[in-house]
Amino acid sequence: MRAFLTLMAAGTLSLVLYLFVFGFLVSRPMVVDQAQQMLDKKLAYGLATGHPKIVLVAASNARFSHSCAVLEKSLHRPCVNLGVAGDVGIDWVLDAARRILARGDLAYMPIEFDIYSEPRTRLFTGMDAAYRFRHDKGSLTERGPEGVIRAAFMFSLPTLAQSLGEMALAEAGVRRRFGLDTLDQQGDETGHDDAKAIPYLAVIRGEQENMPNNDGLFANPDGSQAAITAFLDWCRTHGVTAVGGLPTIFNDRPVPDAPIEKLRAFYRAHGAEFLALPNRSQYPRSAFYDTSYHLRESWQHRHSALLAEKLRPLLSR
Amino acid sequence: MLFNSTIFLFGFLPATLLLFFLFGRYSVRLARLWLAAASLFFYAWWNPPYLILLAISIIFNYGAGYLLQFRERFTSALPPAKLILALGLAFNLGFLGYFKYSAFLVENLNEVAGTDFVLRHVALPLAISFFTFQKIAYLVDSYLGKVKEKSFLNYVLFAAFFPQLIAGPIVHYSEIFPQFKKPETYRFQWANFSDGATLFLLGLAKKVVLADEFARYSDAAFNGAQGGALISLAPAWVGALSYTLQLYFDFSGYSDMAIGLARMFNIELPLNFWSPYKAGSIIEFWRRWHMTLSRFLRDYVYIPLGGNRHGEVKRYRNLFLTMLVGGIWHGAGWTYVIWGTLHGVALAVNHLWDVRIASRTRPLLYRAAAHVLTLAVVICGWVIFRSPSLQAARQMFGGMAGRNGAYLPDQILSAAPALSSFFDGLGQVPYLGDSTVMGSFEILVMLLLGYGIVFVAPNLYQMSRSRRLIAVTLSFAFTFQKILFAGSMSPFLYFQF
Repeated sequence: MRAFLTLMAAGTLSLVLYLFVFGFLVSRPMVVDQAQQMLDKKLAYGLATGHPKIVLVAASNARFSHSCAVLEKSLHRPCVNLGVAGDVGIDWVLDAARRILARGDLAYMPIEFDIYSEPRTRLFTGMDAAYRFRHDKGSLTERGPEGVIRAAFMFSLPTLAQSLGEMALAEAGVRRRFGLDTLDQQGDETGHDDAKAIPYLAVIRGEQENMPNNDGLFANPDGSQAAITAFLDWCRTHGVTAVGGLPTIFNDRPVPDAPIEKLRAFYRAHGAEFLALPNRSQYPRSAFYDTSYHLRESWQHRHSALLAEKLRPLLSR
Repeated sequence: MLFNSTIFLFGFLPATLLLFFLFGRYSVRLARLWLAAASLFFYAWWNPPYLILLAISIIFNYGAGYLLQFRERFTSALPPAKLILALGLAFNLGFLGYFKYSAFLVENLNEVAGTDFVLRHVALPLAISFFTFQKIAYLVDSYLGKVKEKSFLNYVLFAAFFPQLIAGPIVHYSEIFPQFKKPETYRFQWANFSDGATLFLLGLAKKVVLADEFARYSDAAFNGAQGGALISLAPAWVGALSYTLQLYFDFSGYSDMAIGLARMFNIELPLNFWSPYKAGSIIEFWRRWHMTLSRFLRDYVYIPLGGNRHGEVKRYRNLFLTMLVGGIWHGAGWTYVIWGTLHGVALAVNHLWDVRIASRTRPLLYRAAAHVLTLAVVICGWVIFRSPSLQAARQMFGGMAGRNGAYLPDQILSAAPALSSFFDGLGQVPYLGDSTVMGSFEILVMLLLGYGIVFVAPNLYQMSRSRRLIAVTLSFAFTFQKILFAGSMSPFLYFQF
């Protein structure tokens, strides 16, 4: 009996140590913490600018392939690019958007196709959850007991390896390719030009095309889809024009009509608009930087200029 | 049912243990009946119709074993024992051959003879290789007079005892069943339960915390190679080194869990691993890796072939053939044939070296070189073993030899310029660490940890109880996280055999 109790004690101690290490000791300064810093910078700009404004809501597709600087110049409205990374829960970005949106604003949402089908548990275990568990535990309670528990137990042994590595690299002054200093004031990514794209040519050549899977597009209604739905309903009740859009992908073949119509129906069912550009946001592979959702800077500006013309009629609503 | 599934951990195991000891208080026979029924249920969980196959195998082997053990009770019309044994072996090998090798044989026959035979798809019954070998051992032991078992229930319990049913250890009747005949086996014992639970938890940690992580790294390279991609130097080596660890942690973890589970029922199973990557020769490796298979191959293949009794040449031939059988036992495919051949040749060379060349004194440098050479042979063997096809194996070896280029993320090269002499820079290196720099760093740390454990740490059976508790303290939370929160559950590698 005593041996068994000792074993139970070892297991309990293990859990306590785990929570202590990931809750108070280690962090991921170069990936997780940076995501929060990016969002903070974007929010600061959003709060500092007046209304009506434009807010771009998506993951890294917004950040790399869309330029609020171009939209601002063309449409003469402040624009905030809230795109951060695919590994954060979309509800986190949507919550942030609510903080800076007001009546008369426009939220453009070129959300990556795979995000629409992310399950509920994925929302609880994005990078934002890791950040909150380490640095902002109080805010986790907004997600209820399940959100707290899932955030507390989202760390694996490789996470520990990554944390130790990132802490050492940060201490040594190593910087990532992208960070706060490569964001412009609107929150757009900058500097991903043709020269910097050269090392990724082989990656782009071999990358899959990221075509939407029509059947799986809304596969988990209680996951991201529910979060997006709630956001669209919030926009409707708060006088914000929400506009769905297509993320940028390769133009190996056109995005089929069926998923576009499915997306259009989804947005319209919640009182939002849906905007499919004539080119369906598709570009040659040579226009992409390091992955199919990331256009090179010159194409980011071109795409944004095209988008600006299509968004213009929607601004007066 | 998987040992790492929640249904097993929180449903099957507690219920089986509880009722086994509860019934054991009143009736040993009832407890045995319960454990045998639970074990069959455990097997059927995977695919209920295949329980019929297991049942046929059990019934046939019980009958054949009975005839061999109690021949004197029957009339002289009974065929000679040797014939009964031969028929029994033919049944078992035919059973295994049909389900495991028929598709492979037909495919190769069509290839060679230009025929066009079509074989209906035959699904491989779970654990068929393990339970067939165990039953062959039972028949041979019956023939040799080492086993006397009248009770069908006892035989079913021996044949289906769930901790070792799916992937071993491959046990002899004589080492298991005498334990079931002791009355104290049916009394709950805290010491055994705690020891068993500790081994089980540590085995589970090996599987879900280590093996499944190394699987991510190795799958990237091997799947890429199978898809025809050119795998460059770093991902090819990461794939090979990771699979070496994955297989060890997966299979030895399974064996630890099996031994731990059996101990919870007051049953001792034989060890299956003894720090195999610490071996200084291939001979030693096979004394430490999958020890119960090695024992089976020695007792039921190598020795019957003549062992070392007919001169040196025949000894090497027997060694080679035994390892070839071992290779084919693992699977129906040319990769397994080549893997078995490689180890057969390596074992023969190793014996030849020991007899003809090696001196008695073995300085440190010699021993270090022997360890490196052994590990190199083992790793190369695992590349063949893991590759889904010979083409994929060729791609992997090409990558490991640097024939597909040597690349690292350019950010790593700018941080460590010395590496630029060996590697070219790429933004993202395909098939390496999710193509991210931090992914590459994670792999490096995990490989160092993994090889640190296999080279430096004592194995679980060398550890004192307090060291095992430290290991539980270090690993349990990660195991808990994987089982309850990671949302995925992968089968054990040896289930496919």
